[in-house]
Amino acid sequence: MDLDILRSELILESRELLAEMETALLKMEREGPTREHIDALFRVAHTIKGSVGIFGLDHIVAFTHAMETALDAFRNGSVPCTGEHLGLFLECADHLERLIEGLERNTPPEEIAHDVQTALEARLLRISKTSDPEPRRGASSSNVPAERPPLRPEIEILEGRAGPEVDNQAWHISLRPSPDLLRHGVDPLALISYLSEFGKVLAVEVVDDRLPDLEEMDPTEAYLGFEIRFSTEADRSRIVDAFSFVSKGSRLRILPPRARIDAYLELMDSAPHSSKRLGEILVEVGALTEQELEKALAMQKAAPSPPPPLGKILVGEQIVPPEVVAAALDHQKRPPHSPGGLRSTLVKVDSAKLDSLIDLVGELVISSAAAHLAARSEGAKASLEALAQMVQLVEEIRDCSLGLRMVAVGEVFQRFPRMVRDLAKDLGKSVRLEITGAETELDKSMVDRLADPLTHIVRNALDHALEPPSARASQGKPEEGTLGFHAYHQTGSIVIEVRDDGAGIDRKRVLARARERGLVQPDQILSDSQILDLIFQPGFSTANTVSNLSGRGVGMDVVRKTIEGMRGTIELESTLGAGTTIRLRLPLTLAIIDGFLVSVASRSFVVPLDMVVECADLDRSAAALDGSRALADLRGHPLPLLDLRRLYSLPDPTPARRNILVVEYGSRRAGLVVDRLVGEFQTVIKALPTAFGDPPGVGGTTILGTGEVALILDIATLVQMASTRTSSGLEPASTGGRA
Amino acid sequence: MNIRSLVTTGEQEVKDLPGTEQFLTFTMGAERFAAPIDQVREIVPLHALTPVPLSPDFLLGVTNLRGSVVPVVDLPRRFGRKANTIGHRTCIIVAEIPHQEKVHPIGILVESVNTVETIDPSRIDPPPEFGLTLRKDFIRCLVRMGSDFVICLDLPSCLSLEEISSLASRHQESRSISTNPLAIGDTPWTP
Repeated sequence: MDLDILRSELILESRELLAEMETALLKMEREGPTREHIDALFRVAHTIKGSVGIFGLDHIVAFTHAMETALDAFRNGSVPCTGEHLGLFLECADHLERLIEGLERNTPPEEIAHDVQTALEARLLRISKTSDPEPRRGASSSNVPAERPPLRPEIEILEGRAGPEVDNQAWHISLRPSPDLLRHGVDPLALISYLSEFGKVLAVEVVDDRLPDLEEMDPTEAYLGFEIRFSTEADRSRIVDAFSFVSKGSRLRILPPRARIDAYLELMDSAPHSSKRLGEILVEVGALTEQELEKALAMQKAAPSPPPPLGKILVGEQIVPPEVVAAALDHQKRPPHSPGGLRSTLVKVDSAKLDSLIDLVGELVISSAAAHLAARSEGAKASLEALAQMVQLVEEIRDCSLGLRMVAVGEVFQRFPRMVRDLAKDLGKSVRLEITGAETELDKSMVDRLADPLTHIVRNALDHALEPPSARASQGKPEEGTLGFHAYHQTGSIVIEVRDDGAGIDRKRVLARARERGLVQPDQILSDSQILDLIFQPGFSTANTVSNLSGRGVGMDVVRKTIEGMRGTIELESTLGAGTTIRLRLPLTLAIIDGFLVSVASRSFVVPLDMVVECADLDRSAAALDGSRALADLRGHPLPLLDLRRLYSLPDPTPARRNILVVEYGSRRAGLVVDRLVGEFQTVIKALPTAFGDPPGVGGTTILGTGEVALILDIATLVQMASTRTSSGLEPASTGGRA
Repeated sequence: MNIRSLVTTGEQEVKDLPGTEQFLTFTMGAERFAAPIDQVREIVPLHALTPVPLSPDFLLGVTNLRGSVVPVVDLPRRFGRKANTIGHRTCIIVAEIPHQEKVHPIGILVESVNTVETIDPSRIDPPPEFGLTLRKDFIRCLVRMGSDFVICLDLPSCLSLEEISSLASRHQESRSISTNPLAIGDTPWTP
């Protein structure tokens, strides 16, 4: 087994667990600690401890053990969990993150903030010490860090010493989990199925004698025991290791193949009130034959009275020597880990593999279009029919494979609760975070790229927008500010709104600042949306004081650039005194879209289909043209027009008939004047090569069925161009060259 | 420039004599040029070219190279010389240009591809300090072939994406200010 793979899995898993821990801690801060949350924290610490234990990472084991011990004190109720403790655990989570990062970078443990760890461990120990009024097994236990914790369950290997060998070539495993096995996140079923990875589980019998009546049953408690007959080539330490995640308090007894019969007796003796039942089970699973059981029972009777439990003298009674366990760890395959349930439904896949799948599907889409085109030009009817079905399937494959890359946007939101908490604390503000639509899906590659812009927006909101509690109170607002993240789907896009109920944007200040910076001429008159737009200008910052959080003048322009780089847009709404909403609108995917093919001057252009509203005949609407302005009258509504032929100086003579493609972006519409409307086309988006810079209105390229390259139009920019063209505005181009 | 350092040590064919270098020669704008063979990825026939609007004239457009979209340049125009004429021997030399930690394929339009020559180091000279009609950093070396000197281009420098893309951006900016690309109603609509 490749240790590196296990290591990176450990790192990944630990990070997920830490995120879980942070979420739980923040929730506890808000809602007060509950048993459930403390259990969740405990489970995280415990699982990480178990995982790092396998790698012999003693420094992390010691640290998580200290956390666990402190959490245990909360769990058994001997110490009440306070807000101060929660802060400590947040710091612990941070330190764990550092340790994990150190692991990733192969930093030697002693170089990772060792003093911080010592201090944290001492603070953790203080908690557990107050919990325990009696001295804990000698004074030495006050030393930090604590000794290596007992990770193992009680394990016995029973070989037996007396009586004949049993005719059984398989191992027999008897497991009695501790009642809190499930609460530690270990699923016995996962353990059993793990066994089958290196052997064959011949039979499993459930021992349910501990199971109470239904009304008394606690679903989080493990009641069931297991008798397992298991055949394997692996050695004993491997089997022992498979159970290394079984918490202490569990009892595991392992009988090797051909154990002597008294080993089975010992097994039965250990559960006196149900020994007869157990004997039957052993026969049922095939560990013993009927005769062997009888012989065993006879032996038991024949024993001198009072019958000392045979086990007392058995070799197997001793716990497996620690060195055996340690050796096994080195070559052990990762044991089933908690939470066991996820294992069966989720598959981890390298994202590079997904990317190449998407690329291939893209090629498939292109070549199926080519095949379709060829069949049509040849007039091959049968081929066309067969192809129609294939095209359908290709479309489904496309959707499925794109779906593979979709992840919940909540993955980005995840970091904000902690960030908002810390920032609010630093700034002396009180902020409530509201998240809706975290399950809304979008392309994984976008999720990664969204993190920075959103972080910036959050910082801005906390730093500039939300007022301190006193200021809010004096304005009659609730002292606690609200910062909301809302994600939802809207006509082929995903919209992410960041909403605050803070001070709102003061247009006068924005304008004054812009004039001061020379972004706006003193006599220039701007519309409201143009003023708000100034915020996205490079080098603009309205903060009177530059704090270390934001307001360094790099910001919203970079945010906008990033969003536009993903073919998205950013909108801003703000009411002075009532708050600001920043709305990001992003395409669902970056790879393949449904497009609409048009041609101008015998060149093909693609428009994303979801932005096309309708088509119209230019000549008919041209009659309603308003003089020299590029405005058409579309059923009584003015529609700004943009002539692609003139925009791109395309050479061919203008044809007699032309068409208008009405497109919409956000709430604005425009008409693109084109020669021919070709039709729908599945478009695999390929970036425009770097060499061409960023020509206005060109969003990317795609390959047509003919093998030709067509340009994809960037409708957001074109719509903006069309509307600035028809209103007087900032755009120098619109006022410049009128001849 | 130290010629010795230019001699490639990497993936030369076995038949190469030690120290020799291989060059591809080709014609652009009726002039003969060479390029080190290891800077050339492949030679492909010229298929459909799609012009990209608002680009400088040396950026001819994009073409489909087995599913990737690759820019095609007219180098003589980039050098301010006579542009290529397209004929039946016209083809595209694909070079790989490193830019921002990635390798980008770029097509160079040529009137014809001539030969691959194995050249002894004694016939390779550094570019002279003066008397050149080409920017010095575009030239890797001069190669003596027969009685002629042939300019061997340094493709990563001729096709520096940093430079080309900034030229393209500047071109787009100047175009959107000097002309009014957005106008539609200034002249009558009707054909």
